[in-house]
Amino acid sequence: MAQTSPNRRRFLSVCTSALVTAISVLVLAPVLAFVGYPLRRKAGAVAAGSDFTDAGTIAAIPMGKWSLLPIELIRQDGWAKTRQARSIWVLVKSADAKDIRVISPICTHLGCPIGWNAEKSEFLCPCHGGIFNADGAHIGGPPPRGMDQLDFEVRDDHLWVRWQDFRISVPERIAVQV
Amino acid sequence: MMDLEQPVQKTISPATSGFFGSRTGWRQLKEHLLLEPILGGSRWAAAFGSLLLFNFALQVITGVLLVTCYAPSVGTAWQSVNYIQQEVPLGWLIRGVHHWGSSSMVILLLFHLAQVFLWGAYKRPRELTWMTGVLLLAATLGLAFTGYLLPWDERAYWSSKVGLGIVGTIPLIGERLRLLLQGGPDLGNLTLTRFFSLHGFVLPGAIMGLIVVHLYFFRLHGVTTAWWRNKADLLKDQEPFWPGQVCKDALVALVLLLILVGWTYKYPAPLGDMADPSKAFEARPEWYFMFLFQLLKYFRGSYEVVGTFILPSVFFLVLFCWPLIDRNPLRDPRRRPIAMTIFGISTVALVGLTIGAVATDARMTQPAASAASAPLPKPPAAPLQKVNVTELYATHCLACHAVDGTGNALRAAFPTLPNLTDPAWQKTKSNDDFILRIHDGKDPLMPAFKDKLSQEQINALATYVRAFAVK
Repeated sequence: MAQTSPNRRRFLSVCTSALVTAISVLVLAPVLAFVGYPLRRKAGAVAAGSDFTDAGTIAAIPMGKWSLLPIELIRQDGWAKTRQARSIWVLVKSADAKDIRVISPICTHLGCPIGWNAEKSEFLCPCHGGIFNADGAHIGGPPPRGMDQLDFEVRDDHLWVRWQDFRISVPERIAVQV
Repeated sequence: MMDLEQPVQKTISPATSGFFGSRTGWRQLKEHLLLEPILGGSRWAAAFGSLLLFNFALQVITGVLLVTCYAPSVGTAWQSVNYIQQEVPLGWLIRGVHHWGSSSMVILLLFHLAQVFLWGAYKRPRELTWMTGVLLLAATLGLAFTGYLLPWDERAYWSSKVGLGIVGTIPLIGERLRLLLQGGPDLGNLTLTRFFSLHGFVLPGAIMGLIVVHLYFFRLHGVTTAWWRNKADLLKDQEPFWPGQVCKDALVALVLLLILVGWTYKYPAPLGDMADPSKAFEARPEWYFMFLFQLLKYFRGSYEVVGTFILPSVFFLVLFCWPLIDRNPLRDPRRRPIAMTIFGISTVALVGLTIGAVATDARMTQPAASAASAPLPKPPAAPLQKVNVTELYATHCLACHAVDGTGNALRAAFPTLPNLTDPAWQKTKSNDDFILRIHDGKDPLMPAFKDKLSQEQINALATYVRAFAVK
């Protein structure tokens, strides 16, 4: 064996390198598939209307001013369906419930929760100073777009809201599928 | 003012120059790691150690992946493992390779141990290599034991309960050690988190440290050469580790990988029903602990500690200290009669106990029979009440088997009618035997109830009948 020719040794070196590479690929490919599956998960089919959440009676919402209402979603979170709390900014402008605005408090810049500055009648993001007017339109600071409107329906005097997450840091409004 | 120390000018060979090479010295490292000459040349027999290393690396890789989807608590452990098995792409493969990889790890370790023993490779100056190897074996068995609980299915729960019961039999410290491992008065959230910590951090860390020491000793003393070859002969065949030995190591590693993947494809890693402490279950350890399981049958009452603790400890202690006990310098097995006799007896004992345990398994129906500290599970109250089992028994069974299960009144007429209260007779039957007998009946007398009763009712009746022998 010690007398092996340099050619034989070189050939064996190449074969061994190929073998070690092949084993590494065989091991690493499933590893990438396992860890990387959130990247290629198909968007879950969400039946229209089924994902609306009851945010309570409209009568209970203070008239003419923005209020932050809690809602509760039931979502598949990994191996379990979990109850998840969210909040929404709601403005009921008139008593006949025809003129209602619902917007997400998630800042379009980097996802911080946006607060309402009653003195200036502006929405203000506490993290990086994003400013939005009373309609949620972007008027200052780093956010790339205005605040996100949420779909809602009025059913039997209850406000039903469809919670959605939108991609942050982009000028377009793109819903994130769950 | 202090003089600055003059930098030492190292001579760097042209081969190591280049930005990366001159800063990392990777070429010297490569030469040190890969071009070390092996006396006697590459051998298939020398591939065992690196195969074990490869197997361990697979366990680490798959283990780290499993951790990304696993949550150790009573309410989430089973669910998250089930999620890995059913939902995560290739989850079945990763978990399967991890599951079966633990078995192959134990098999390879035992072969490696036997090989080193037969080869006399533990002898001077390699005593410490052997000792770290035995510690590696112990740590691996610890990994196997702690990993078994994590899926929190019925098997996991009851096996760990029995295992912790065995820990409890250790004299003086047993009960405290059990509480320490268990984290509380009973198996639960704290047991899972503790086992998870041991399985995922403590033991793998210990194994990595031991591997470094083991490999250091191995490289220090070199591969153990064949005892029948002389030095000149060995020197003539000397060749570097790369590529000859690496090629052999890689080929066996590839074979192991393919076997594990193929095996997993054919036999997915099992995940039973979620652990339910109220349900009777026939606890079985993994096959590599079956010898212990069988051993426990021979030691009852106050002698039980002999089977649970004394014999295994003595075995491990002798194994660990073996290079210090066996001072015979000869390595040829034919000239080491005592060592070979002990090896033969140990092998026959371990294999015999394992085969014995598997062969007579039908009799070992209750965890209580194998470990006194694991109490016989009480008949589950809720399901029994739900199907109103006493009424079922009264309607369908009482006429022949009598209200107390003895069947005494009719035995004269029907001599084959068993006494359901006889523990010896009960021990020959498993829970499944009961269920099957009620379901299918037995000619000529026992009617089949499959059309009259639901499976739930039959299961409840089996548990009810099982409880006749519990005093």
